[in-house]
Amino acid sequence: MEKIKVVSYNEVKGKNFDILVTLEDLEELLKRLGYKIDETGVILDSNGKPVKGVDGREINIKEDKELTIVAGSLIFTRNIAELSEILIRKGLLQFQIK
Amino acid sequence: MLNININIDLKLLEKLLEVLGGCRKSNDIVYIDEETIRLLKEWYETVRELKKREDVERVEDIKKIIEVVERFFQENSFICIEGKWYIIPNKKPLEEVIEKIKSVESLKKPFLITSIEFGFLTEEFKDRSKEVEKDIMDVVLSLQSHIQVKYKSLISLTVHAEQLYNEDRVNDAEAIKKRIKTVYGDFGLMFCNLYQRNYLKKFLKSMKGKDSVTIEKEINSFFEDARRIFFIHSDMSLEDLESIENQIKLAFNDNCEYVAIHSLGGATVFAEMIVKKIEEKLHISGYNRRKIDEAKGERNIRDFTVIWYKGKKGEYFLHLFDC
Repeated sequence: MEKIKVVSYNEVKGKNFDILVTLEDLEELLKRLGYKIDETGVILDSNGKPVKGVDGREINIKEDKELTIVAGSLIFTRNIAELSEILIRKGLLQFQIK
Repeated sequence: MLNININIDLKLLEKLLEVLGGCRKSNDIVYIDEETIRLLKEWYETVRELKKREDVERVEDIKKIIEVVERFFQENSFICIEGKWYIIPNKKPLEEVIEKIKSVESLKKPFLITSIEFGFLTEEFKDRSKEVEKDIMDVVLSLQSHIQVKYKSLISLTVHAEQLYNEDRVNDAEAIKKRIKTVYGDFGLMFCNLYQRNYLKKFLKSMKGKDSVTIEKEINSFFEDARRIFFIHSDMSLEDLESIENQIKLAFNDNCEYVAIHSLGGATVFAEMIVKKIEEKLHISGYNRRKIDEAKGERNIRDFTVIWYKGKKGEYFLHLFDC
C-alpha cells in the first residue's frame, strides 16, 4: 500500500467526513458558529454562557487539548473517555460480537 | 550551541508539498496512510513546542522549517472517512463543516471535529472494531440503560487499550487508562483492569440468564471482593506504591481469601519490589501462591503477577482469572 497517493476528489465528494483542525481553525470555526472565547480560553455560547463538557465542567480551549466536537448536536467532549460515552449514546461505536 | 532536536522528515515534507501543489491545479486530493498522518501529528506538535522557545528565533534554518510546516497546516485540510485519511489542498472542508452544522444535515449524519494532535488517536478509536463475546454483551444489554452506556463505553475503551498494549504502544494505552480514571473514577479504572485480566469477562458471562436486579447486586459484591486485586502502573508515584503495599498488608491482616498483584511492562519492576517487601515482612502462611512471570502478547511484554489464595472465595477468583 502506498504511503501517499493522489486520488480524484470524487473519491470523497458528498461523503460524510471527520475533520482535523489546527487550534487557529478551531477558534475560527467556533467564532463563525456564534461562540466566543474569553481571555482564559473558556468557550462561551451565543448567550455568553460557558460551554460545558459531559462532566458539567467548563470547556477551556487552551487547557482541554483533547477536545472533540460531535456535530450535529454540538456536544463538546474533553477527552477520549467522554467521547466514547457520547459515541455509545449516539450508536456511533460498533462492537463486533464473537 | 543550541540543542534542538527536530523530528521532521524534510524529504517527506518536500514530497507532500510537491504533490499538493500539483493537486491545486488539477482539483485532486491526496490519500495518506496511517503512518503519515501520525508523522504529521508529530510535526504539528514539534512546531508548536519550538515556537515557545525564544532561542529558536536566532537559527534561520529552523525558523524557515517552522514557517513551512505552519503554512502546510494553515493551507490544507485533513479529513478522515471510515478510517482513511486525506489531505485536501484548500480550506473548503472547513467551510463545508460550518455550513453542515448550520443546517440539519449534521443531525442526520454526525461527524467529529477534532485537533491535529489527537485526531489520529480519536479516529483510530472510533474506527477499529471492538470484539466482545456475545454472552458478555447479552448481560450488559440486560442492565438499566444508563449502566449499559457506561459499561459499553468502558468495554470499548478497555478493548482498545488492550490492542494498543499488544502493538507495544504502551504510552497510548496508559493515556486511555488515565482518561478512564478521569471520567469514570476508581471504579472505571478497576473495571478496565479487571476486564483486561479476565476476571470481569468471566464474571459477566456467569451472570447470563439472571435478572437485572440480581446482576447489579452481584456486580456490586464482585467489585467489593475485587478490592484486594491490585494493578501496578508504570506512572505510579512512590506514595501510590507505598499505599498499595499497605493495602496488601491490611488484606492479609483481614484474612482475605484472594490477594493478587498484577503488572505489565515497565510496571513489573515495581510489582516485584512490592512482592519482595511483603513476603519478607509478613511470612505469609496458609495461602496457596501462584506466580506468573512471562512474556505476553505479540510484542513479548513482560507480565508479572503474584496471587495468594485460599478458601472458596480464593478458588472462585482464581477460576475467574484463569482462562
